[in-house]
Amino acid sequence: MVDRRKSNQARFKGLSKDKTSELPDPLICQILCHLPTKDVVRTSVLSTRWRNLSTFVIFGDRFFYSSRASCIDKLKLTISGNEDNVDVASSFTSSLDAVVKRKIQDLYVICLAKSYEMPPSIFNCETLVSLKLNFEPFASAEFVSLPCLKTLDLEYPNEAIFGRLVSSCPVLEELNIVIFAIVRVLSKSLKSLSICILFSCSAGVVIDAPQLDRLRSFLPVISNIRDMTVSENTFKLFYQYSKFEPFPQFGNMSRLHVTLCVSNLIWLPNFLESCPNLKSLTMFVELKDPNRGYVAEMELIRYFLTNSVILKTLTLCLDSSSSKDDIFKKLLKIPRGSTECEVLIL
Amino acid sequence: MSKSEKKIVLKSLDNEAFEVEKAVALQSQTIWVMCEDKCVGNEIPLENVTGQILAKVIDYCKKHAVVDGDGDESSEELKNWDTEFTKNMDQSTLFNMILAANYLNIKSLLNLTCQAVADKTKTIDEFHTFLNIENNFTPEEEAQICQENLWAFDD
Repeated sequence: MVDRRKSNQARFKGLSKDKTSELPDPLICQILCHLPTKDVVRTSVLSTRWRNLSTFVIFGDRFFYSSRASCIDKLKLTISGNEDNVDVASSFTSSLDAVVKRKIQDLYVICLAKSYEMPPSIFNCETLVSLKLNFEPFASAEFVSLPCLKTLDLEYPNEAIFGRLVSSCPVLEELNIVIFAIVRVLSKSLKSLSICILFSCSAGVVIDAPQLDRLRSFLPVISNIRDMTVSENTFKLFYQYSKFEPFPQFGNMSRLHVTLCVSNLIWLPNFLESCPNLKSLTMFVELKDPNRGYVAEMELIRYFLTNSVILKTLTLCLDSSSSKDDIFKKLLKIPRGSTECEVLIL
Repeated sequence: MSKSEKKIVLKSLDNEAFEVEKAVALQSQTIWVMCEDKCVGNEIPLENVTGQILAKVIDYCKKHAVVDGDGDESSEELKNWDTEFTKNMDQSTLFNMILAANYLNIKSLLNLTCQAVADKTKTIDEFHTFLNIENNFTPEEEAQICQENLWAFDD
């Protein structure tokens, strides 16, 4: 046996690399199809590129389509991002289609490669109870009906189709989404909603879910952020969040840029306490009623001047109608927490 | 059908010409489509296949055309012939046969040659060499995959 292997290897070495290019993936799959399953798995250590191929040969051809498996309850499928391959992509779609026919209940797909599409049948699956997708899968979902779906996890859902999807799940109880745009959540059955907003100030959620009793944890995901810009609406959402659980610590955040209306100012201290390393804070405060003599504004300045022990500069940008002298006088009366603080009026 | 219409000339990459019965050549879906489209004359240039490989492909097609037409050879015999056909091919020939079968779109030949590779390559290293794939896993990653799939590596 050893001798045979040796002679084989000797023969293989005769095959120089420049003479033969690599076989295209479909042909490699063809060869893998002729190997026992065990050997196919072993070939996954050949190269990172092979892990995907091996998976589909084993599961696509032998498992999903085989008559041995009449039902598949649960499937977790991971596609790495380094292989954007048309053939694996089509195999991916047809495998999932086969899985739907096998009455899948619990499906979790992580797909880091682009150009992969879910088969439309996934969105008409009568047995599906839990669906987790980490990518936008909706390219071809025209008709949606998921009568048993209770848990749905989605990342970056397309706004229009997302709305249709949620409203087509009559028993949906738990929804976990990552968003960067505005989405609507309208569901009569929804009990738990978790939202994570990524890197966008134009994202937001409209929620109409009378049964909802848990809204949770979208901020911890972004708690490593260094530089944050928060719009008025997002800030309101932060506040709503704080009603359900405390803010996470934004330990790395050094710059915060926030737009607020006066009525939301009272939530700001609470949020700032979660940012222990903040170095720069820029605020736009929209005053609804400038005739009130800048009470809220002065209150805000007082808050910063008295509470900031090491503040170096406070810059006030006033609009043209403001009286600088008046404000200047008021400023002088405010006790300072920091002896070095300089106040600039622009 | 006149005699000339029944014959067809296949020309290899290195300009070797092979005159074959049309029925033999038409086992290749690629050639079949070319003939259907009437986009070629009686001579079909095959730019991806060398004369050495094309000769072997034609041998295969001749054998299979006769059997499919007349049915005078049993499938058992044909199977034996197939086994003999690939038995002494070296890896480089097999590699090129797979590419040719794929290009010419002859499903049964593709199956046969892929099966032959699967039969001849038993170790991972052999696969490496044959498929010309570089192992880009670190030893740690490799160990982890083995660990995750212990059932496949336990002997």
